[in-house]
Amino acid sequence: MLVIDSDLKAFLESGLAIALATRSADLHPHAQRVWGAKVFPDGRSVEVFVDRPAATQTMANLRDNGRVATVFVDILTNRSVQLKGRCVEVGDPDPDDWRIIERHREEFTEATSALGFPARMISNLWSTQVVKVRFVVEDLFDQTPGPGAGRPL
Amino acid sequence: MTLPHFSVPLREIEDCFQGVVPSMIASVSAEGVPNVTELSIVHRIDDEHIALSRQFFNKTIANLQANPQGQVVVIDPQTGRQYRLDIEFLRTETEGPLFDRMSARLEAVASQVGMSKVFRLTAADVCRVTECQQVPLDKDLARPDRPQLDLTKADELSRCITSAATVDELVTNSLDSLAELFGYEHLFMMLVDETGERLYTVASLGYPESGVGSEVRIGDGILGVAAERRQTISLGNVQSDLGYSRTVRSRYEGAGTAEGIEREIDLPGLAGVFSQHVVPIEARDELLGLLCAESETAGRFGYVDNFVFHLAAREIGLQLVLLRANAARLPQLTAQLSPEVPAASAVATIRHYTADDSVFIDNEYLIKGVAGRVLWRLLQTYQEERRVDFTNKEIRLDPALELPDIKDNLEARLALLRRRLEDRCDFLRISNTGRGRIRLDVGRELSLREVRE
Repeated sequence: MLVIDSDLKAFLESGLAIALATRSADLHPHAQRVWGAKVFPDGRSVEVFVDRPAATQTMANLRDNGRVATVFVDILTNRSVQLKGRCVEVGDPDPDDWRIIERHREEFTEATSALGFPARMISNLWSTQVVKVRFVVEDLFDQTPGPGAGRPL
Repeated sequence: MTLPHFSVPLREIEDCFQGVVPSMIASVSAEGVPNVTELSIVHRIDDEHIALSRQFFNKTIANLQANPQGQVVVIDPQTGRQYRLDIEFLRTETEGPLFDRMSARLEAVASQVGMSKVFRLTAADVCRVTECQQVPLDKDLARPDRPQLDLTKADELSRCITSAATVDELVTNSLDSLAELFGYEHLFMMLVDETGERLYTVASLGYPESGVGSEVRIGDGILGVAAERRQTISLGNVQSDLGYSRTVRSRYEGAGTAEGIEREIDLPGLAGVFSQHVVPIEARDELLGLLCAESETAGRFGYVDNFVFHLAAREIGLQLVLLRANAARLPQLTAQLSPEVPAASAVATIRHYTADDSVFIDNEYLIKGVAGRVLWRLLQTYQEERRVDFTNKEIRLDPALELPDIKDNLEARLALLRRRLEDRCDFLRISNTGRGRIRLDVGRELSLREVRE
């Protein structure tokens, strides 16, 4: 059974660039941006939040087959990890979730500003409404660019 | 020509393809497992094709080969608008113009961090785009910061460049008009030296230190690779690109495979640069130099700016060739004597080291090489004959100078010398007094010392 350790948990819950991919029944991929991640205490599932206006196809795909891939990238160090798994729950965020989302957006904006991006442009990336997606992690991959990219963790 | 029926035509979102904000790509294996990864740049080929750069074997290409359907999300760096591109993998290219263009960009950055022998483009994966849609958002977007360029000014730019009567005027006019007409803050121009192996900065605009006279070896770093490959290198986020290459470097070092890794080169130009646009100056298939623009803002230069820089570089190249051809036909000038004796301030000591023709003024380095030798000859003539007026032609033909075959480059060297003096010395000036003529102004008594080693 795959378990996320505390080091990886701290990484996944920091101000990273996060994307989520799903796929349709006829194997069309669909990608969208993620705001905020929370690793469950048992270390086996992860909750992420996707922009609701952009999530129509994502939701249809999750209902169809539940397959999920998410990539987490530290834009300052390029450390990257991909998590693959199956969606087990979709729902609305509660006030605690919104604190996670807001903190993630703040930390991400801070990191992007160090790379020269204006905060106003970055804030245009997110919507005001999100959907919560929880998935059980089945595979972990190291995606940091370099000779070991793609290696299972 | 009819455009594909996309919700958003690719040509309308050209800024998304400049490599400023990373994109993401999703693919699905034949077994139905999705995969998602970041891409530092997506290259637009035309109105319905893009190319993905591949450095390492990755899951994305394995998936696309098994199931050609993919989706890319790109971001407009000005507005933050996101666009989803549905794509279909077509083919892999490992040579040709597209591959060359993509690999030059990667190699330029890799070379800057000493990785050019290790970190190279493996392949360009070409995909057809079947739809492009804006990602829906539930709020209004703020307006972009970047001012719109007025392309009607291109005619004025062309006039300013092509009206230059000397190389010195040409480099000055070119940078001044790019700054005044289009608002570029930091510009510099480099020319190929007599050996054909190095570039030297002949003029700059908008820097705390002019950097005139600084050199780069062709093939080294972003500037050197742009020159060697004769490719425009546009980096919308220099720090991000360098950081990516440094990560790859440390991964190789960590894996104990550091063979071929060289030392990192200091980035010339602007401290804290985020955008860099480097365009080769060519004419008649010959590389003459580079035109470079920089900015402290990420994504400062878009495709319209690229058009302006290309136009400028082409006009500069043609005008350089024209001026060099004219320079060979200019008349001799009768020598004139200096009308006045220099001001009676402290004597300035000027040393010339014959080993490399470097010239030091009161122990401060000024210049070396051909420009140093020419300056020394002018100063010697001034001391012996009190002459202040010279023609380029006599310098070119002067047997004492034993100049290498620099007939094409003498004017540019004089322009460099003039700027170095303005930067570093307050009592020596070289000015253009007419086509192919220069005047030396000396404001102090001189003591000349030649050092032979």
